[in-house]
Amino acid sequence: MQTHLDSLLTKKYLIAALAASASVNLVSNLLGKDATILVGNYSYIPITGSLMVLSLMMIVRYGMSGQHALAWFAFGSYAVCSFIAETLWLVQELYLKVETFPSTPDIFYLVSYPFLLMFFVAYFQPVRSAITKKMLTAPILFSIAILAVGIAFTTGAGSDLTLFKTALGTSYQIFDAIVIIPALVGVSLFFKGKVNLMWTLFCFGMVLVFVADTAFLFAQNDGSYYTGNPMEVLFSWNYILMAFGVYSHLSMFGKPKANKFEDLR
Amino acid sequence: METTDTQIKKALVAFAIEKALLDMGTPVFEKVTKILKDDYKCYIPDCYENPEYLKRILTDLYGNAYAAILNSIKTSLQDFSRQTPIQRFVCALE
Repeated sequence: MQTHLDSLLTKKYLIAALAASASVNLVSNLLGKDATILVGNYSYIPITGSLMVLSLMMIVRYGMSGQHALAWFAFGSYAVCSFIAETLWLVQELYLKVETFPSTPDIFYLVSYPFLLMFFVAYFQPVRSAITKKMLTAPILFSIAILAVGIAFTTGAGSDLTLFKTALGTSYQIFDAIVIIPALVGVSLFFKGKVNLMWTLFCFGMVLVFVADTAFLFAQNDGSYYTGNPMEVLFSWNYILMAFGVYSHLSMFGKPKANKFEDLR
Repeated sequence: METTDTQIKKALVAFAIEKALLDMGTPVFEKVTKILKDDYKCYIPDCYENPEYLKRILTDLYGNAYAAILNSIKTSLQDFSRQTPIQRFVCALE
């Protein structure tokens, strides 16, 4: 059983990881724009890489049977897409020196959303009868409300972007708002349960991504965007929160150690 | 060895519990059996006599979603739901 100590340690390391990520971002911003772009690009690799490795470990742990196996396969695909997208962004910006928005990474960012949605659906499948209309209403209303505010915020300021760029940026906001719904449902569905830690972290992560995508589009609008800018810490925090959520699940449902003395009897 | 009525019901209940847990995933089944063994020194079939153990473990793990897992167990036992010991088991889980 996951002990209280495990849970406390998870939270302690989580806070340390979030603080470290923010510190690296702020320090690089103090060093100048070039350093920020370099650090901003490279910092995503270990963060998304950790999420990807932990997700692949979950896939190995769950194997091929059961609804949660499908869920973790979908989540693993989401993590792989995110890792590829961040790596491509780095290659395009630092080595190929081409425009990063819109570009190939966007394909992987967009493809990752259906996988994330598939994760939520497959995870909820065995417990779907516990999902009530009341449980769905509040997250849907919350999602619509933040989407309306987000779109008003980004479009209200006027835009120098092409229609395609605006549509692409807005599609991120829409996808974010959609995935917030099951994340919030998960928090209320597993309330008081030990798996709720993961769902709470995922939910905070989804909200942060929505804010970050809104800020990204806003910064693109006024031409102030650069990789590694302070608001980008929210993207990193999302990956860190998710990685710790997956880790908490992995430590809870890890392979039980065989008791050698018990087996000898 | 003669199989008693209690043993048959115990096997039915164990089957229903295992099916519900394995539908979620093998690690879930392994986790529940490990907690049963570590905390209560018993196995899945023993939940027939001690349904409160299973209830506590599933509530601890899945919180409010426990009701849905219970529904899945109840569905598997539907054909035997008229029998008093099965009814007693299901009622103890609710």
